Amino acid sequence: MKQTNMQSRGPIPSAEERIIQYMDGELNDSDSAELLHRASVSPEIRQLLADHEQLAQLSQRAMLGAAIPAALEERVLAQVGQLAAANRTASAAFWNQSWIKYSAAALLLGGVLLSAFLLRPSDSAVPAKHNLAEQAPSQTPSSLFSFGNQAVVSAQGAGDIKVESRLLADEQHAPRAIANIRGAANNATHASSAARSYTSLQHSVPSKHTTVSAINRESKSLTDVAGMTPAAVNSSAVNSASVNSGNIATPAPLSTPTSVAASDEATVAQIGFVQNRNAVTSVAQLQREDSRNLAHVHPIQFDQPAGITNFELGLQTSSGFSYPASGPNVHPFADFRANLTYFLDDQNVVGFRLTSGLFQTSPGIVRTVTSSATIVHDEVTEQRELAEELYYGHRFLLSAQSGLALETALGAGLIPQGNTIALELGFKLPFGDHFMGTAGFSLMRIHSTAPLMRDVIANELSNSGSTPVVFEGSDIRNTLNGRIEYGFAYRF
Amino acid sequence: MNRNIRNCRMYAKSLLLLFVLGAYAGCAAIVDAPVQPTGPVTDVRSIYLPLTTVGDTLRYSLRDSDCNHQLCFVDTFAIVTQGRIAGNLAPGIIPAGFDGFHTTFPHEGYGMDLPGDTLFATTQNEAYNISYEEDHSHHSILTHRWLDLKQPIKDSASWQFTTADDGSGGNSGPIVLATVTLFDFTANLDGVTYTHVSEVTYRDSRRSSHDRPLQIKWYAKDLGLLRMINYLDGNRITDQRLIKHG
Repeated sequence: MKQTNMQSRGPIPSAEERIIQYMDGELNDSDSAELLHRASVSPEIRQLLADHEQLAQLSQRAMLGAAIPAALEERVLAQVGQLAAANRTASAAFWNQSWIKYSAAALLLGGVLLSAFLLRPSDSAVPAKHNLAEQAPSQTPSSLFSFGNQAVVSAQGAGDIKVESRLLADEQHAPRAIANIRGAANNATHASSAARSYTSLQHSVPSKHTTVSAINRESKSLTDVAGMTPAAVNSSAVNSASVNSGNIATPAPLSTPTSVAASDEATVAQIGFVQNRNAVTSVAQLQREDSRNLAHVHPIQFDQPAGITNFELGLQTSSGFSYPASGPNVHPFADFRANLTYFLDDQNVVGFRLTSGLFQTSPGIVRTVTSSATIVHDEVTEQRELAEELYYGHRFLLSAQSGLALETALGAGLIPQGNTIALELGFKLPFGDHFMGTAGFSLMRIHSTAPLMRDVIANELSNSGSTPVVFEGSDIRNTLNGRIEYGFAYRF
Repeated sequence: MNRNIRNCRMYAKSLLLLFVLGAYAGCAAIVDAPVQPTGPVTDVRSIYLPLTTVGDTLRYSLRDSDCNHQLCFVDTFAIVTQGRIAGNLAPGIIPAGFDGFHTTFPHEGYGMDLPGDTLFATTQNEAYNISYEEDHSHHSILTHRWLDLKQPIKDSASWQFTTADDGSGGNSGPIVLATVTLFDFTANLDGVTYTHVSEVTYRDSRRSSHDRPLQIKWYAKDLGLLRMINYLDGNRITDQRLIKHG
């Protein structure tokens, strides 16, 4: 089967990365050939390839007949549960920082935080590691709305759990899966397992259930089996068939640790050691090749707090300008709006919005008949109208630590005697499992469908005969509203 | 993630962005230009045809409410001349310092009280409608000056004047109160739309605003007199409208 090269973007991978991709079965034929050629001419690469093959063989032998000890599994699951709990409390800890409080207050008061965050140095690109065994849970930053923050639960020896939290700003920079089996073999009594917990993606992946292949698609799998010895692997390595009653058949000699699933409920941890004839096979590939083997791989439930739905309710007010304006150009608290948002997926949302706002619309024609003429007055004036809008938004995570996200949106709606189209750019900052502050800027074009002057005059002339028609007003029918919006949103 | 899928998504997003921008740009005008409020007219000469258009004509239709037959609808016209020429035509009538142009309203109708030759004498501040006629009995020229406009011309601006009759040696007639009742509006007159039109209503100052005015005139920028309604004795009204110029 032709493999898909997973190295889609980024710098040219190193030889070891290529080898890992090769071992994972992620290289296509030409890339595999290239790698083998490089190995043939480079002793270093050849040695690296040999090392990895040896490690793979060790792990393959280790899984034969092995099963997860019940005690270890319980400990792993317990640690995963603690991780989920820590993640849930992380956002609260995050908000215990005073500057965040002040920033949030400023956000709600006037959107000042908008510029503050723009000027704030980004810390999202710096990976951070947190060892839960050594650090307080509050020091593990995560939040419901964080994207790409993944934790790696690795087994050390007899069930010692080390959790690494790696913050990923972008899936493009996500560390690839690394199967790192360390040490030598003398600790046959130590069971080891690898578990991965995706502590983020709760917000970005609204669906609670994601298949193992989804993990591969996200290229965020991390497995760190630290401190394991070959003997330990031999004695305690986990056969995928033994995990979660999966009974995954592993027909070929080489294997590698693959996916582990963990939910915030700590219900499932899957450790799959699957193998292929010549190279380690990813779960996604195995899924394609032998769906029977994966028949018992249950969908992974990400570490997303229970009770989170795909719906979000937001309330905002806004201040801004209108152009051209019949009255003052700038209006404080010009609009009040409520929006209901539905998450199509991790980044795309659609919604419906009701806005009580100030729009430049025509109040209607005022007609006055004098002795000399018929005077008609029609001019768009600023009026408070109710607008109904539909919108589509796309969210980007800016900071995995704070959960700060950027949202762009396009909306269109109706107002009495008119319609609207809007472009928006805003920020969303969570301050709890459900709440988040929102601030942004929107540019809305309002088109009034009131008749133009020539139509008004023509209509009047048809009624008034030879009586001259005087038109007072203007032909302004297209206006622009610029608004700085601020408020909060609640995700159910 | 598969490269192809990524590329497809990127292309889809790019297309969406292009679509949005295109839709925005496709609007002929994202917003309409604001209407700049017209300030007061401080040079009344800008309301009349420029004096450089010597020889230009203004044709009017005149309708008399007292007429009930078709012949009451007549055409009149005005001829623009230069101030000096107008002064030569009526020596001593145009006051010093005024420019003016001459209009002639030939008697083409039946039973119409049409004015004779008329001079519009203007300065930056004032515009007079001067009509004159010879008083054969006294061998003199009777001149009537009607202060059409006085700057600043703006909404609700008003001024007063007294018609002069130098044939009797002094001011006579009622004190006329002129008020700008409509300023800078758009009017459709017999199918033609004019912009920047102002309406001035002239009343006898001794009468209330509810009484019939003496006269109502419409002035269009760069055209001058666009319409003139005379409220005559009884309920008789003459309505003179510009129908053509140039």
